[in-house]
Amino acid sequence: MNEAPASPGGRRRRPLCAAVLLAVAALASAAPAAAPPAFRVEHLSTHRRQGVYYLNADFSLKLNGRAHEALSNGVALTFVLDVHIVRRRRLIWNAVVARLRERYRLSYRPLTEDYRVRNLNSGAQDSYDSLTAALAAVSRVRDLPLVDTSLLAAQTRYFVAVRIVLDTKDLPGPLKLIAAVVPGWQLASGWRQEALAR
Amino acid sequence: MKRISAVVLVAALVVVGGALYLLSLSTGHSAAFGQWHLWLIVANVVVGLFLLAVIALNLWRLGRSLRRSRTGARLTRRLVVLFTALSVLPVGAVFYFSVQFINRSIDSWFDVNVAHALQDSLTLSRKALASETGPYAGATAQAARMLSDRGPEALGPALDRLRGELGADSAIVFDNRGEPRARSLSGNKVPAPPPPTSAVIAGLAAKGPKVTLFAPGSGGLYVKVLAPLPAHDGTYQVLQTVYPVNGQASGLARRVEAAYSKYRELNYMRQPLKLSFTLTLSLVLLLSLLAAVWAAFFAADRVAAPVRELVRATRAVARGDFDVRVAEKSRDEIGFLARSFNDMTRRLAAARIQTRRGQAALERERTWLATVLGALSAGVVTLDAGGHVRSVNAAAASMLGIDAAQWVGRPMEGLLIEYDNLRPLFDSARPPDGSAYDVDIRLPAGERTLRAALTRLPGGDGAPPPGRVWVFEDVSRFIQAQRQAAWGEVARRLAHEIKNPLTPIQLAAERLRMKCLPALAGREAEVLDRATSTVIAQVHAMQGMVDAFSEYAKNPPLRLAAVDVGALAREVVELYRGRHGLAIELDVSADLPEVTADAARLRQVLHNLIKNAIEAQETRLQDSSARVWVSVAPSTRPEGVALTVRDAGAGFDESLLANAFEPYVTTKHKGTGLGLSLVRKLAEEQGGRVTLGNAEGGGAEVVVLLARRHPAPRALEGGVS
Repeated sequence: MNEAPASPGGRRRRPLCAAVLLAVAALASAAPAAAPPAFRVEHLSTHRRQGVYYLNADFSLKLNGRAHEALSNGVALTFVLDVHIVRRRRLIWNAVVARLRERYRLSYRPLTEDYRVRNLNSGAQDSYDSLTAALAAVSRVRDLPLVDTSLLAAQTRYFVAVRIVLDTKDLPGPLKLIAAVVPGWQLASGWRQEALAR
Repeated sequence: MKRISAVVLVAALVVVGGALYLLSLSTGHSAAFGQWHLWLIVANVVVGLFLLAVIALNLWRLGRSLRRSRTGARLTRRLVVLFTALSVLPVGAVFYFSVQFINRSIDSWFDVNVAHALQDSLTLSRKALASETGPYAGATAQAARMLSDRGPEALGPALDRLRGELGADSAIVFDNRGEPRARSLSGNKVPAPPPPTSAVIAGLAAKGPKVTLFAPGSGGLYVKVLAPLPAHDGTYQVLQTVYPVNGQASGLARRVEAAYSKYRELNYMRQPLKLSFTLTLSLVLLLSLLAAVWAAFFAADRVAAPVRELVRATRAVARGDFDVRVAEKSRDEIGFLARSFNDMTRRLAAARIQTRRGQAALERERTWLATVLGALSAGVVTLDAGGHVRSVNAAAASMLGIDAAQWVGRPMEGLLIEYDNLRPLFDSARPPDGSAYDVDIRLPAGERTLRAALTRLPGGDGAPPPGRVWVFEDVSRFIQAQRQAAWGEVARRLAHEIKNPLTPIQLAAERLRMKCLPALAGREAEVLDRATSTVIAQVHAMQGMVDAFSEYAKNPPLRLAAVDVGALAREVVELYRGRHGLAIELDVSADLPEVTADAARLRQVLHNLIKNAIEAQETRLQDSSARVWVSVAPSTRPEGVALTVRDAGAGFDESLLANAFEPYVTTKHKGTGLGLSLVRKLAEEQGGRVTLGNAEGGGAEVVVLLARRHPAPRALEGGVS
């Protein structure tokens, strides 16, 4: 065995270091594996009308058991739609020229046995008979005004980046702690980018 | 440094305490601090990790100190273990009972009966609302049937009329894709429910009208009724009517719903709440323990530091460093100990200085005593209680011809076996009463008379039987002087008494010879001649003897002066050169010290000695083998000049050596026996000393030792080493 000479102390510590590294690696790899992509950006497009960019997007939102259970037990779930207008730059990171954050709160109402979706930005709310209908309402974004064309440089190419996330910070205190620690509560779609239509 | 770390410790504990307090607030179901919850936990974990790192560092240091056996390391370890144990046990117990208490408290909030009652009241609310809103379904279905045969143009006015009759807030006709075809709204502001989906529309055709409650926002409840509306073109359409629910019933139902929702949520949150509390408590426990361990290290260090310093200082004192001081910081017992320690070292230092002074004084005293003893002409020998020789002064060593260094420390009895001749002096049977006694002992310098006194040494307090001291003086010279005086008197009287009749005897004999000899002849004349000749010759001889006696008894005044012994010797020896049959040699050293002597007496001494030497080898004079060697050389004991006269004769008879100086002791055929005694008398009168012996190559050897003129002054004062 071709082993480098080491002090007794160093030799004794080496397996310990290896074990720690293995444990960290296992945790790091286990976290994404435990949460399949339940949220997805299915479709993303923009269009310009009368000097304003609008966003159309469709998401696939599948609540897992934990979220479903919490919802049916009266816990309101908050979905956050993050929209960034990005200018790509060379060599360094991209510049975010505009940010938009839409928040939807989904709750179950036992008396009427329906689901309510409330847009926290506008205050508009709707009731839906089923969870599917409520989630479909959240996952369908139509004509969301993004940015005025006058705010963007003419000869520059912009992108729109979108994702949708279950906001665990809005959960009740104890559940928030659990959601921060227990895997399965981190429900989020990845970012998806599309060029801004000119 | 200590102060800074104390401040850091207190600050860290305050931060941890504050964070834990906020955490405990936010762990409850309150919204306050809810958004900070995670950050608080993160902050606590960070502080915990910091504490852990500090403790690990302290542990490592402690381990290193223990391995290197540093002072105070074991004390620190013991204190840390003690403090940690003292904090772990109560905190652990509080933690355990707190978790148990919280879990039981949370469980006690929930009751199956309450849950059922709330469920039932919710159902009851629904039923109540259903019974109130039941008629709306039939009315709407009927209205739908009435609208079914209307064309698109007539639909609007008909809808308005029907809505008025039904008392609905709104009435909308949707086509089978959910698009509104006609709508009629009352003056009331009614939120529009979302349009029915095609699935719902398809369901309506099969199941009939559908009544649902809906609550837009936080306001009152509304009833939404969907009824199929078969169109005249064969497609299904939907009539949707919305009615407000009675205000009171609506309010009650909403409150029941709110209570039910809250209870459901609480019930659902039970496990997370427990987990959250347990987590928070665990964090509190962990941080408390870590803080306690750190505090234990800190406290142990603070407690051990003065002890460590004391141990260090004690070691320094053990090494003999009495100048070491410890810091007297605190006012407690440790501070008292430090002050006492410093006091002790101060006293020790003072005592040491005193001891050194005492030792120096003692040393001076001893030197002084040694000097005095060394300068004493009397010999002093001391014995300790065990009979061992304690001291022998220089005079004693010189007098007895012994080496003082060899004597000191040895038992006197053993020494006396070796030096048997000294036994009469150191007679152990003699009472130590200080009385003087004279002993005659044979010493290398000849038979000597010593006058000695034996005294008991004073003993200390409770000391063993004290030692003894002999003080003795060589009184030979004194006795010799007495004898010489006696002999001188005898000689003078003899000379006087004998000399007086000698002259008449001689005259008478000469007259007799002169008168009678011519008158006689033959044998008578011969007899007379021989007799008178004998008488005259004997008278002559007696006169010579009487002259010698008077010479011996003569005592002219002593005239001491500086004498160059070498020149004097040359003068005298020169007189004997050329004598028949004799070879005389003189050897004078170059660097002779001047001596104080009486030149006339010294000359007489040398004449006497050379004469003696020649007389001792009379037979050799005939064959010219008589030899006399005279040497003048510096001497060391006593410092001065040694005048040596040696001959080639037979030497002294061993039996005579002891009293060769006595008058009338002689081996020669003719001689008065006064020669050597006169030499001795003359030498001693001018402070000299005479020793007799036989030379190695045969022949007698007489040495006259003369002290130098200015002997080096001997220091008698104390304090000079």
